[in-house]
Amino acid sequence: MSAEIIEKQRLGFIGLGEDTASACLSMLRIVDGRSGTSWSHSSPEQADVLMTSYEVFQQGLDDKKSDKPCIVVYPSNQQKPSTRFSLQHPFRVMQLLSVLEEVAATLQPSQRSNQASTSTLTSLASANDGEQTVSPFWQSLHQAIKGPLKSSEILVSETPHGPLYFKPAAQRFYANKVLLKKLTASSLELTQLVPWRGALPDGLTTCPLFSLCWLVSRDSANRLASWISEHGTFQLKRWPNFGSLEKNRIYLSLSALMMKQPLTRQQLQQAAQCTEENIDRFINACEMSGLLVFQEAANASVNVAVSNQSKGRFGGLIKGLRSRLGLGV
Amino acid sequence: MISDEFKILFTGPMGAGKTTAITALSDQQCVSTEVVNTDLTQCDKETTTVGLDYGHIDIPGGGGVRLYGTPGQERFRFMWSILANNAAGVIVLLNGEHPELEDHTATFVDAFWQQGKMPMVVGVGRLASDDFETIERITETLMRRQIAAPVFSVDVRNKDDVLLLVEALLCQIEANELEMVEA
Repeated sequence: MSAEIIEKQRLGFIGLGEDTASACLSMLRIVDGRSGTSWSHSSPEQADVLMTSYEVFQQGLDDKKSDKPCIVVYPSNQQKPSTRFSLQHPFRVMQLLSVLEEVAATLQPSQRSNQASTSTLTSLASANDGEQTVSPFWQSLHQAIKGPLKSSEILVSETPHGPLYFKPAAQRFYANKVLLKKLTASSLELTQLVPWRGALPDGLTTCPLFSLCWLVSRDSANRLASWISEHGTFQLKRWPNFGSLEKNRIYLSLSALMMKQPLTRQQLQQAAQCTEENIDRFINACEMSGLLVFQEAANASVNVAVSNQSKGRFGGLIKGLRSRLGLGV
Repeated sequence: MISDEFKILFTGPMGAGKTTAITALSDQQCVSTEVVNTDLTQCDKETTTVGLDYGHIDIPGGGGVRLYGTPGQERFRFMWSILANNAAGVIVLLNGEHPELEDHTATFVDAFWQQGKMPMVVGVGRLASDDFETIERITETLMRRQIAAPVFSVDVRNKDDVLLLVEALLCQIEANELEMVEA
């Protein structure tokens, strides 16, 4: 007889009324043993999953808790919040059980109790965990864009600030304003993209593929993705959308260089005077957004170096101008 | 030949912020040819440039950068090519709120790209911080015209935003000057 693995998950409450919290604890005892996951109550800091009030959700969670899946309990006189996991108050045991199972299915593989994947995307993305240099979210995005699963379907990644939707066919992300602000300002861990069966909620802000890729690559993809060869030249098809790209000379310089001609990572590093991490993050975001042209380097192009820029017609002037304007030299 | 001076051109429709951008950068008071605006249908502001704006950035140790602003109205178009002559690069400023934004984009990028494919940067003002779509639309307009220029959302009243446009231009000028040599 094979023993079924029951994984334990902890649920933390934030901002729930006493009645709601007490009713939920009673229900947790009832649902215990009825699913592949055993749920217990813990502090929000130690919890794997959060359950928050509608007010807390609207204000936004602080960064320490922001990387955990979140169930929003909203009053019946409010519109359903634009988040993937929600429960209308008051709720019944089966409704709680249903949403808990949904949350458990989207947890990271190491956290997930039910090893059976609920989506092909999830299983594809987690198949190569050992050799990946990028996050599971980035892998699942790669699968969605480049893999056989590319379609007009909607995918979703869960965050405590609301879901992040992605339409591969439109190459657009959709999210609430709070989530986009959080992504712009700081790092957020995003769960893998999984299929979303509902319609896209109203009132979401649209974000082009590159802009979102750039924000997420800060932590999700700052080493060259395993599916990109490091031995070759990189060129851009067009300038990236700088809507959210850090207004930083390094990335302006990398863009200008890669718009002009194909260059290797070493040549880019030398010309833009930046770190390997800067280049890898930029290449990852451009590759994911379809802006990149990669070519295996021939021997001749490997053995080149970038000339001394100050020999150029404007080299000395540009240096002086940067210094004069405080742009750094 | 190594230059000790070069020219950056600011262009765009009336009310896009060319005079403001030059004033933000110039070491000396901006020389301007402003007159009372009689074309209030295009832009609701009191005065507008009819000849040119001029500013200068002195570079320590000699040399400098000349900043020219073109008049925004198309009836002064004859000035554009005169001012673009020998420019190291052009900064196109657009008003993101204007209903004819895409027409303006086409008019100005076409006019100056044809001047010899000089490095170009496009700055779009008066956009909401989360308006990614307008920038994307303008980028696509440039792509259709095979114009390689970055597009930024900017507020030219903020000097850092003007410096960003200048930096993007300098990076392109540098990239154009880069030569590959045998290691």
